Amino acid sequence: MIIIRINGLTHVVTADPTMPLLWFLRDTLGLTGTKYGCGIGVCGACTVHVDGVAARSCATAVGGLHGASVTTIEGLSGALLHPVQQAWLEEDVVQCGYCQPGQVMAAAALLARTPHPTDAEIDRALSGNICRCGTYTRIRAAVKRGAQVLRAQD
Amino acid sequence: MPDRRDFLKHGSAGAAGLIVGVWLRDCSATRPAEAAQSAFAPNAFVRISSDDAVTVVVNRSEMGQGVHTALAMLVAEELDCDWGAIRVEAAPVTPDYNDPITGEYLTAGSTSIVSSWTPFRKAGATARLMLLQAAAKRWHVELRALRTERGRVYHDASGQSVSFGALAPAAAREPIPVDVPLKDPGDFTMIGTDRSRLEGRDKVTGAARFSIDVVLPGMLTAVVARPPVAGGTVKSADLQRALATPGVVRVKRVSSGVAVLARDFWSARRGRDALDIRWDHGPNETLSTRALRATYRKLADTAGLIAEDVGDVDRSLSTGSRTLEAVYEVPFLAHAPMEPLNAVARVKEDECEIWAGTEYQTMDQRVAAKLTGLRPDQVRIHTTMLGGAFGRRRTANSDFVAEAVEAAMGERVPVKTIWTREDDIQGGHYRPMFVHKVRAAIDETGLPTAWHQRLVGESVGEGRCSSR
Repeated sequence: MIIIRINGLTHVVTADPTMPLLWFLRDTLGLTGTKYGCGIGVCGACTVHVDGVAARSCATAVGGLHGASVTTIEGLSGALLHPVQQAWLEEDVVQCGYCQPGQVMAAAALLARTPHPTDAEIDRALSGNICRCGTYTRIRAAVKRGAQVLRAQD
Repeated sequence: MPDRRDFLKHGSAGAAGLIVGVWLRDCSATRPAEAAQSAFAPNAFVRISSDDAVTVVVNRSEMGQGVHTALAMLVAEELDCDWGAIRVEAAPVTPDYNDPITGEYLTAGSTSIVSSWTPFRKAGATARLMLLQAAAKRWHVELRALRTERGRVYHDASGQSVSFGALAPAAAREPIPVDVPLKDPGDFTMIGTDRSRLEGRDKVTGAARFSIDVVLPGMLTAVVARPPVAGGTVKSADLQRALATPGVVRVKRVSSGVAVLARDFWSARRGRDALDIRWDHGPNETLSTRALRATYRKLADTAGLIAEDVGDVDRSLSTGSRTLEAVYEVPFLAHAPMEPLNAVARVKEDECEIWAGTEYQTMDQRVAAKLTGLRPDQVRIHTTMLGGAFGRRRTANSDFVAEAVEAAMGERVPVKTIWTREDDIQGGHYRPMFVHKVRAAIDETGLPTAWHQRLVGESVGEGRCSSR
């Protein structure tokens, strides 16, 4: 039996254990904020947190997640937006928006561990998250803005 | 200016509010009579409800270019509403919402603002004037004693004010004004200002709905096996292993190949992997980029159709101080939008419903009508957000929408077709390859004195040379 905590709720997984977490989230649980982009873990649109670390849900089989705690874009914030999401709005980052849940999750995971990221650290942490609209310069600005807010909260 | 018949209003008691429609075609001569009598005008662009919400109905697809926000700004400018009260809704696909320049419902060619500039402002200005008329009656004052600001009508002399929402039911009963004046650009307070994208919050919280996110009761997901060569067909197919795959519900032929319908994407994908298909590669079996490029290069040395011919280019070329010759090649490119191609369709006896992130609703409707045998007006299209498009979601055969309709035909439930990323990269329609050959002469100062250019490529409108 596979038991996974997703956004704070416990789920007993009866699906095919080889099913990627992405499709369990989207098709079984209806959590469609996590996006399918490539299916092989190279575009970052499907990024979620597994035990606090950014992970590609399209390349993570549910069978290997017993006991893990997963956070999706739907579970990142409560009533108030997460500071990273707020920064994303203030910098008006998004265009088509399809990659952005993955970008936001990758940025939130970075800032949880690296409160003072350099440009190089931001680029390294987010280089696997592709944006076809090319919003990268605004993403970098928003990560820095989000970092400031998070540091002020500590 | 449009005449009186150019404006429609809605004043039914059931929905307390004001709807103002402005025909996109400034000339109203072709307006259908039944639409003019319809209480619920389907061509309405502005709806003000009694809770002050202002809904702008937009006939353009939002694919990241910001058109929902931009068109809402045009209405808000003339309406003087509170920007925070603005909502945007995708317009249904009816002729009333067609682009006045192309006569079709599509988003292309950077035409959205130029087409919408006057009609959307008129929609806002007309609604504002009807609200003013209603306020003038309510307070027994003259129209010119009133002003509007951020969603309220003010009568400064008496110190009274009232919200648009509170006036909406009365405004809906007002006569429809004609020749509504528009603001002088010098008085703009909205157009030209920075506004955050209206759907921005939904896009950072994962709440925004792309067509791949559409979930309907009983819906099946389909993944289609397509020929490895464009224009190929199925020679024979063994479906047994695919049918035995857990979660797979049905396997069937569609024009583009073999569709595997399953309870979820993962099962459909595994089912497709289990298909055993022998393909007839068709007439394009030996076609290659290399061979096409060689042909294009050869053609660039021969005469073609003349697009423009001014002066005597051969003489000018021979008299310039220096002659240059260059060949430019642009390769085939996959558009590769971030959201893989997908669409949802539900086909019933008398209706076909489609949910799609599409750039070309008119063609989708036409193609779906042809496939199902329904009339175009029986094909209802819900336009969702588009996870990028770049022209790929607008083709001459509406390929990805047509495939969803075919997959859904004969099913009692809706079907969502999803292309894998590999399908997207391999499956065209690519941006076409072109070869340009340029000969030019320049004078002593470096300015051109002659220009001769030949270009070789396929028509974007007709589709790729090898399309089925």
